Amino acid sequence: MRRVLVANRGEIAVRIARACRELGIETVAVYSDADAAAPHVLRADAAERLGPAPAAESYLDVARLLDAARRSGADAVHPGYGFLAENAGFAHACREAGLTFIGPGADAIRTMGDKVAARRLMAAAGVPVVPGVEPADQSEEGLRAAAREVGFPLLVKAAAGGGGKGMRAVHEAAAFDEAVAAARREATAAFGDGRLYLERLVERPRHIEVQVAADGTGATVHLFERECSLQRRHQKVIEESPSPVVDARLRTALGEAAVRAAEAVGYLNVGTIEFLVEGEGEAARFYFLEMNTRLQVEHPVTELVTGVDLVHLQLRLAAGRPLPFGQAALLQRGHAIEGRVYAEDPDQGFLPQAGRILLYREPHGPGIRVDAGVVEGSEVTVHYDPLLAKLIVHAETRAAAIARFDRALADFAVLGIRTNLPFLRRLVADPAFASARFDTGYLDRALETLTALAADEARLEPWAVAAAASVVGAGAAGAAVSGTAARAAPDPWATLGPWRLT
Amino acid sequence: MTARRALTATSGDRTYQVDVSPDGRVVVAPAAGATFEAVVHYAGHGRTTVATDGRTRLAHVVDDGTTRWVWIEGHVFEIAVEARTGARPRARSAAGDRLAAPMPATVVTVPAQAGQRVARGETLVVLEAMKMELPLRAPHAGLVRAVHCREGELVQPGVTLVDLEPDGGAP
Repeated sequence: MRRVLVANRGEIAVRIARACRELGIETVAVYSDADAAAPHVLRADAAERLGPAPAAESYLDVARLLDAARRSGADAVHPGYGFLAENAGFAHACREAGLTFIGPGADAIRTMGDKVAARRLMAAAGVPVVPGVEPADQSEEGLRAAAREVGFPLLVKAAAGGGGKGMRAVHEAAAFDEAVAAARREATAAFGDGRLYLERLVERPRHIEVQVAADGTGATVHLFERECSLQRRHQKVIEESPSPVVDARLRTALGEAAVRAAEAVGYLNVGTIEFLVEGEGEAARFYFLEMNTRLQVEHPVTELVTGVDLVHLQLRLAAGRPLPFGQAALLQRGHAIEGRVYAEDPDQGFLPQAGRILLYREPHGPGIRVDAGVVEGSEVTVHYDPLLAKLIVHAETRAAAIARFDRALADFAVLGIRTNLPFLRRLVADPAFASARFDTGYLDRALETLTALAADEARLEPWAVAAAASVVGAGAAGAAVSGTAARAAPDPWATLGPWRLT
Repeated sequence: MTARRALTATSGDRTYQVDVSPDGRVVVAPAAGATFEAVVHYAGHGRTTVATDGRTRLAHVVDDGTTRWVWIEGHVFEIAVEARTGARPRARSAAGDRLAAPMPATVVTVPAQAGQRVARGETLVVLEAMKMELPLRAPHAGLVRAVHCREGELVQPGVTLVDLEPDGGAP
């Protein structure tokens, strides 16, 4: 493996290119017309244009990606996450074209991508699954009959689904038909497959997932859990490791179940088994939710507590080499927290935002890591996921990590486009976060108090007004201030006066 | 030499009268409550410092042409600044009253009806973009004056979808 084509964009493409460079492997970036000068393009040794901005004509176009790989002389493909990362056809096509696909086999992707097939396989392997029904009769009447069997409350899910798309919680029979219609509409739009299945709704569950890694010799290990319960409409917002509610007994049970799940599907490379956990302590029970057959957005928290670079590990495993460690060598050290920085407006139902980032300053300091896909001046478009960057911190204890995370969030400045950074700060300051009393529904329930104008924000507003009023005429880089302020710090655009550049 | 400037600044639904002296001294008077006084220095590349007797804070400021974006200690403010004239300043930004799509999107449903009273946070229009359903909610309680979209319609960013008159009278 000498030259890897990274079939992705944004922060994950930047992160993969960095890992390749560290291992002396060349990288080829791909880009749409919207990303011609994006950070992931500038990081790579070579770059290939895919097509116009819409993902369907660029990052999702298998033929164009394979063409780019051939033109650039790449011998391997890293799919990142999203786009084609869990598309079995893409993995298969890469291997048919003689390229190493940095991920699992197409069969494992296909099996785990079919939620119904995955449930059956997990149940057969002794991995607990949520009680549910997979109706063969997908008509409205067939689904109603299945709903009576499962009982309310229940969850309608897309058979081809993931990421919360095409998923609806239904608490009573009267709301069932409408939920089915909405889930089918979303599932068809997102996956081109409107098949649905029903599960008992696990009330107030936690979402806890386990990182696994497997090599071609049959060795499979887990790299402990990630706590991902802080979600908004099934999109993760904050992730951490270890989970503050997983004790040693549950950790062992989750890890063993995750390894069993990976082995059952003949898994190769790194992946994640997601579980729902209900109850606490001795009473805690867990159920298989789904497997993500790829690198996860939140993989850095595992990297920080285990010291393992998961992208390095992916490259090593894809090259056919064995796992460099056994289970006994793996430890969780300290505590890591990740927050996802999105271009979205918390006050407007978290609507994704488009626009130019006029000012961008990352936080720095011990134990602070930022994985970013943007820089100052980047144009954020409506074509792709609004994830701008991830802020990840590591400290000795959870309390120290929270304090470090709060400080780093406070030092992170993004202007010109609305982001969820202020919302993340309010979330971290919420007593429920410190005490770890939250489940997957907590954020949606607490939204009202978390988006309200906080006291310290109100207190700082006159300071902000004073700063805003002092800046004259401005612009991204050319802000100027009246009077001695400008003279104290001369800025050519402020002091140039009536001269003409010739 | 710049003369002393009399300005009006609006942040959310709060309005301030601001006086800026040539030496960087700034007086910020809210509609109600204590006046805030500080000295502001510009350090370049969007960095300013705001100093009072006891405390100096860093603020990042950029101007996108219509709005000044200000960052202080992790908080972000979008502030409209205009010269103060004899006229009564706008009590509320126009954006609060005309709700628009932030991006190209398809209208899925329109729960809002003209003439309807709505509470803050109530869903007025459900949009779909990037395969996600996105609710457009009322930023404040008020009266729906008019609805300018219908189900299935493709709408462009910035185009008004709903006119919402805030409670407490027309702006």
